[in-house]
Amino acid sequence: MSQTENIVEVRDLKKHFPVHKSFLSRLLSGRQLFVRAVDGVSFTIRRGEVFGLAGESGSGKTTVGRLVLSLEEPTEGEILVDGQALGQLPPEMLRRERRRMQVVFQDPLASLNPRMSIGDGIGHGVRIHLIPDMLADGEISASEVHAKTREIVEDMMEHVGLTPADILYDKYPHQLSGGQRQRAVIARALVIKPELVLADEPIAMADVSVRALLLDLMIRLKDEFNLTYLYITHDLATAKYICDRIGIMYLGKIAEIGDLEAVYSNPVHPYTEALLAAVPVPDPTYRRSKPLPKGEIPDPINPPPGCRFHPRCPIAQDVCKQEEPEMLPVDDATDHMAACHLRTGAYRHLDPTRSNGTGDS
Amino acid sequence: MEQQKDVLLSLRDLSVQYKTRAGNVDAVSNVTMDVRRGEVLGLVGESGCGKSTLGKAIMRLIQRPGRITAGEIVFDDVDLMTLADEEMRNLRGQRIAMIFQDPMTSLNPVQRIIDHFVETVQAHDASAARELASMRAEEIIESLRITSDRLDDYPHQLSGGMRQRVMIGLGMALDANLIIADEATTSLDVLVEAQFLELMRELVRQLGLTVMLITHNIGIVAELADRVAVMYAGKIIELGDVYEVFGNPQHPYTQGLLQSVPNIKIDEQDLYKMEGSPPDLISPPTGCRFHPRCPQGMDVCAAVEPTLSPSKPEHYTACWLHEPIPEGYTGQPLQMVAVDQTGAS
Repeated sequence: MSQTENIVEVRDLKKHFPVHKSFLSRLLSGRQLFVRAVDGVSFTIRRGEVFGLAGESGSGKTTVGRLVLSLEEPTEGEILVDGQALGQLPPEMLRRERRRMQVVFQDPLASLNPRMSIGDGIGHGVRIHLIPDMLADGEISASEVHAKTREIVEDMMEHVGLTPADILYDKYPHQLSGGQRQRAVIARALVIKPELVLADEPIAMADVSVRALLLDLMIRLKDEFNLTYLYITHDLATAKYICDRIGIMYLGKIAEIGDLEAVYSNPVHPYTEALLAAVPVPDPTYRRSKPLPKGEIPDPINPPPGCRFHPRCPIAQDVCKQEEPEMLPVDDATDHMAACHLRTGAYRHLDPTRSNGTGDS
Repeated sequence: MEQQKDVLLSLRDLSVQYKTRAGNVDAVSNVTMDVRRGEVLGLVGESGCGKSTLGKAIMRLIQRPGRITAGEIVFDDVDLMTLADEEMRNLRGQRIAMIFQDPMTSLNPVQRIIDHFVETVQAHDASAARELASMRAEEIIESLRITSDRLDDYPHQLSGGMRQRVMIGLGMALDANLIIADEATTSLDVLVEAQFLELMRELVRQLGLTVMLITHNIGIVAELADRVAVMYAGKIIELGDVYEVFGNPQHPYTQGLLQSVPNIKIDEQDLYKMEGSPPDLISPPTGCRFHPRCPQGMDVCAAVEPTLSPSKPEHYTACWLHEPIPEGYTGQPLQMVAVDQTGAS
């Protein structure tokens, strides 16, 4: 398959989950309700980058990740991987495509089979995806399958720092430390040589002192194996260390997107501003300057009309309650974009925080 | 240790042990520290360091196979270890309240919020009239920025942040002197967490609450705590004023921990990568429990345990780098031969 610059293109993606109700209440209300988990999301992931999706719980970030891997069917919209729509592939082709996409979840103990040794767990994908091709190509004979699998697995274990590999190979997940387990999950994802790795809160469960090592490992492996990451997290502080670009999600939509540097140093959407300001800073001399938004993330079954952030937004105007803002560029130079009437839209003159003298760009 | 300040809770050589088939786990070993009236004391450490066990031990809520094996828990001049179970039950909730990570497991799902308040008040004072308890509940809930009509709701109808505020409210209903918050904000989203911390700060200031804040989140301690205690492998290894400990950490573990926390306000910060992982508490390392991971370990560290002692008036550290090395040891760097392989490369 041809190599495109954008490994993933997502266009106007929607996923609405039906709310299951009892027969009686369905009879009475007569209307099927939906959780609009993802409600119109577009972005691209460039080959070789780390693209982050950040947001609070319920923002839809994990659902987007699952959609990209075709673990869920989108309600609407399109996902192109290397220019190809995955949704249209027959199951057998999709299975082969999946080899190019792997996933690392938050809880390594839940991701690893407790009855499978670490080596067997990592080797599972090898036996399914790599060995059949090797046999077909005559690269190895049937009698060499076992030894070859073990060789590939131990080699990968050494790459991720699971050493001594020959000893840890036969251990079971409960015999490993938390950090080692997450290394095993990473090894299992990478051993079949994927191109895209979905990392959904991969270090959220690890202890502070282990997190730095895991982040470092993920960055090193990305360069070593030419990987692209879709990095999903609620933790903006750690995202800073790994992401090249980032999308900030709120209630099923992207509020702001751009180079990490641009978004963090010059947040445009009031939600991004609030989120960045709310992150606890490990410095007792630091005091937060910005007021916090009120309330909590609303019900995604009935999202607020207009801009979804308006009930909590410190600068919301009437237009924000009525019209939904479009995703528009922040400036001409970069691809930093935000969906806010008062910051990137046509109502910038209404922004109460706008300082006098700065003209519209 | 520090008699001069007004001490509300004083722990003396407190030890907790869990019996397991693999052996005895010394989850908390010889912890000695004070919590002063009106302060927020942050207790930080990684998972398995014993911080939650310590919190539960103060409430005498350690369940079998765990046991408080030694020590005193002096709360308002009474050693809680000497109280009968009935007396201890009266004290819980009334004098010491505890907030856990998941409020849903602490609230009764089939009981309205108002009934939680009434029940709490009446459990400690059977003669209290329902009307009186309700009035108190309204007053409290509004001070927690929840409208009083939400008192008629069931726990699932409230948001996570509200549920956590209700938990504090239940503690306030009895005018608890000490609130132990164990990872109370961990399940909250970052914006809600920040709101919650702001509210806590106000309540501490207005009502003079004393809070013991147990958390793995260094940022939260920096935001809220007056003093901080750092726990490692069942021991307090550093204790002091929050500005002191963060600004001038003495123990190599504290130094490493602080440098491994991502700080969103600093550009181009290199995260410190601490080698190894915390030890198995069934057979903890001899001497200083951190010595196998310590970049500055000395011969004495592997053999003799350092005690928590003042390096400055408001700053205590348990580390041989800050104490005179006993005779017979040279202070030579430790040969790093036996670095634990777990968790690191």
